[in-house]
Amino acid sequence: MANYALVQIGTTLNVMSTAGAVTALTLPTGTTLSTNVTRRPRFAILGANTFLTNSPTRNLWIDRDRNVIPMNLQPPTAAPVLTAVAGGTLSGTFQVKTTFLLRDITTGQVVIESPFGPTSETSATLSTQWLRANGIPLSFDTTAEISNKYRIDRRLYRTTTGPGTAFFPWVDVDGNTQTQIQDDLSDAALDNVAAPTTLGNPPGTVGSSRLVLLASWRGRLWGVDSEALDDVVYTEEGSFGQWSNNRFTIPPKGFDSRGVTGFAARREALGVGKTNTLFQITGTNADNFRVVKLSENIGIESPESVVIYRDITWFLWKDGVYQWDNEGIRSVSDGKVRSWFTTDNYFNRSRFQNAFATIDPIRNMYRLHLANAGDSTENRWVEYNFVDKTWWGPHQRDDVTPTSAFLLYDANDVATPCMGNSTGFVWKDQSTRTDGTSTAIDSDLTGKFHDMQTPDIEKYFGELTLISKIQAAGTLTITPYVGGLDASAGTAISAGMTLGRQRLRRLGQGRFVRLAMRHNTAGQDVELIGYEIPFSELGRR
Amino acid sequence: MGAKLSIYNLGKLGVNVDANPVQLQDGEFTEAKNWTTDPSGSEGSIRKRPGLTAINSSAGGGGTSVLGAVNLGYTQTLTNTFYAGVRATAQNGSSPSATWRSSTNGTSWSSVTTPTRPVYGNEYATQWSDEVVALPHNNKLYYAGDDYVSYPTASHSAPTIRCYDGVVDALVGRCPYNISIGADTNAFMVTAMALYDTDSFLVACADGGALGSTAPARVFRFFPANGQFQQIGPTAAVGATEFNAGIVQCMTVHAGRIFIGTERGGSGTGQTYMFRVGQDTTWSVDNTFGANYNIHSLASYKGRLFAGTRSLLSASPIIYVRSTVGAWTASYTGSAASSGFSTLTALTVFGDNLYCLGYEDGVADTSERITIKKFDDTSWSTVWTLDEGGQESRSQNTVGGQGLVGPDGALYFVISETDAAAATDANSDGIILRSTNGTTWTEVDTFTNLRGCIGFTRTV
Repeated sequence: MANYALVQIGTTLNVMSTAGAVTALTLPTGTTLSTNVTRRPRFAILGANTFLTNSPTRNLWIDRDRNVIPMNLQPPTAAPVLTAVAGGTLSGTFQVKTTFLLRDITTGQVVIESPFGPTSETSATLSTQWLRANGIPLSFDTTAEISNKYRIDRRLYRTTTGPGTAFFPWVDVDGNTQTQIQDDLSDAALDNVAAPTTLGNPPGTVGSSRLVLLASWRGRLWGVDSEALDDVVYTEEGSFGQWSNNRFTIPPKGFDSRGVTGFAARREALGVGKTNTLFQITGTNADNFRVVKLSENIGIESPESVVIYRDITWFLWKDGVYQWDNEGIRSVSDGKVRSWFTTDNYFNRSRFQNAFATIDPIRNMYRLHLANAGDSTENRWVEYNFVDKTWWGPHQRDDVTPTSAFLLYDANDVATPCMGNSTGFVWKDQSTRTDGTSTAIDSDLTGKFHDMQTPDIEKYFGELTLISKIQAAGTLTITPYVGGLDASAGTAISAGMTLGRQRLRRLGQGRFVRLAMRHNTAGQDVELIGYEIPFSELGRR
Repeated sequence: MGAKLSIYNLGKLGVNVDANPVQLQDGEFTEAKNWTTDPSGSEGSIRKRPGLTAINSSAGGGGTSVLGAVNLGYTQTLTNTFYAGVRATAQNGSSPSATWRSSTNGTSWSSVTTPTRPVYGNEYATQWSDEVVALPHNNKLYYAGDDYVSYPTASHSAPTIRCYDGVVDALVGRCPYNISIGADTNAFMVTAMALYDTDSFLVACADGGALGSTAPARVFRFFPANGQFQQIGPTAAVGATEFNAGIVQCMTVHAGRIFIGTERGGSGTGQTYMFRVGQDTTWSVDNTFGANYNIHSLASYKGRLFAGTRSLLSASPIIYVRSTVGAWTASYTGSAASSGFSTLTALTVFGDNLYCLGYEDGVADTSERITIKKFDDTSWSTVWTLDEGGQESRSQNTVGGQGLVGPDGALYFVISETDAAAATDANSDGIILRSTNGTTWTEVDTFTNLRGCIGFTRTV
């Protein structure tokens, strides 16, 4: 299978090839995916591993072979019981604690290590004996075991005699079956490296909490704790199994019920948005990560509205779309389409939290999906051309309702903007001007009231000339509005799209002329190059 | 006075719903529903937006909403190609030109001459390693090369480790001298390889200088990224031998330790040794087995270590198991041999079970001496015998081989040629067996001079 994607469709997690083959993946037993609007899937990639949080009942890891595995192992809940056994060479008193390991048996690599279980009671005093650990806990996360690939082992850590306070790796117990082991390894022979201090599980390890947001930055996973929505948690570098106590609280704590509302992983900074502020985390490691406030009264309204492309971030806030790049943060919608976002005339602003977006690198567009005014689904989308700095839309399709947007790569590794819809399909652009197999694209274009720089002067508008790309077929309907700013629609004009240039009828008399154009035939393309309107000034009334 | 309005910037200004009608610029729109720009040959124009077509031909998730997706960062999945080694010298019939048998699906095999030929134990000393030594590691095939001059032949050279990545076959490492023997005395041959971690794998070699059962041996971590051999444990003093003069026949990692099994030839007493990298400074004898038992295979299964043996003459073939407290007992005991060797080798964990390739000389029915056995953590059972393959007439004197869990989710065993003495016996060809469930086995290939090792490459 060539290049492929992971797609959550309803309650299923699927792998989809560029050829469109959709295959449902098997989730760990007991793990389900939610379709609730507050539980949108949050994906992140770290190396060859992909992670899914928020929608599943536990955080999931999808490996390169598309095995779906819990991201973390629950820690042991019981401590081994230590006894002294005749034989052996060890003397003294000891304590032991255990972790669970998920080992890739094809490489021997430990890919996940759980936090520590409880520490055992101090052993009896050994006198040239074996130290035996009985009742070694068994992991309940057997769903993490993948036949011939991943196996749960146990790792026992031991103190030096005393018992000492530091724990050192003592012995691994392969598999999740045996509950007893003995060893007489001397203190001197214990590993010189003490037990790791970075072990820890994130929210979402069990179903009582979750990572509501997820991002990959600086070789780490970053998430937001559902139980402390102002808190950002993160892993050790390169490890998705070690979350330790890595945590930032993004102020102001408890300001609202939404907490952190979006991540924006740029090259040198991780943007962290709240409803009214935008922060960035900078630094290269846990010792120098720091949180810096970038702006107040600008935040991230919808996590899915955040798109990063070429280290430029676009995101939706309450009053428009913002761009964050090396030159700062600025609105790209003010002065052009601010009214889309600040009035109720265009979109349902109460659903901005549900907006989603992607990038169209072919046409240099930021593509933002919003709910039409009065509607409760994200059934419109607008586009921002980040090269020309122009806005287009609102667009609409008449056959199905988009439900998500993302960037996928085709078989040739060409980035392709896609949208998912409400009927289980993933859509991409096609050159044929048809949605699906037969639905026409209803295209409406409304221009300005041309006043010829003399809005107060009555004019006579002559024959309209339309220059367009020559098409095989098609007719464009042009409705002129001639008069004042309240001009009514004039008689519609049909312009053939097969000619390239067409002189059309005279438009009439008025101070202004405005053209509205519509095309609504499936399979037909329309490309307008320009138009000309001769006019004569008649005078001032 | 007449004039003309010319608008040729339709794709340059876009929508503006903020300015009042008079302030709008010519070329701006107040609505552009389903109109957009196209920089690919239509710059400056305005065009109907592209249509949308479904990527998937049938609805996913039962026709429910697509809630999100992510493109995976790698562009292609990997293609598996399996390789089974072929020995150089003709065991039966003429010497083969093929160096390996190869398959991309595990079921159809053909001869190839790349990679180059692997070495095998009998080529240089009949009582040493029976199997060709090969190992898949990080999606590449590593194997002991046959491109050196073995000690003590004049102008001997160092045994080699070669790597085949699916495209290029390269020499990536040479076993270092054992300075306790001589500053310019090359090792004799590579006798075992085993997985260790993602950066390195284990290589054992028999050293030159003192042939046969008195030869010293060493174990290394080999780092394929730079060809470095890092010796595990000390080198014995001049005149002494490591591992009680045993050849390292097999290795595995168990309970955080490296375990090795030794072959000491004939009626020798095989041993297991253990070592913790980074902690231990010397190898510890884990167990010394009885006379006539040499250790030919090790596998960690459900927290215990299993050892397959080569047993001599009247000794019953045994698979031993080491408990978690370090006690070795017999897990399987077969029929005593009558006159030759029995071998229980190629211990391989597949799914929830442990498998073993065996030749038991004491089995009365000579057509049923070669078997595959399965241990389900409770008892051993035979899941395949050679005569099920319709090859009852095969000479069945010895067996060597390797098990492999392939990236295709199947278990493979390669049985080496079974009768070195039958110089023209085509029925003693080597066999490649494949099973996807451990129960149903298919002979996917038979080939003259197949010697028992198998590995694979995974390429984009």
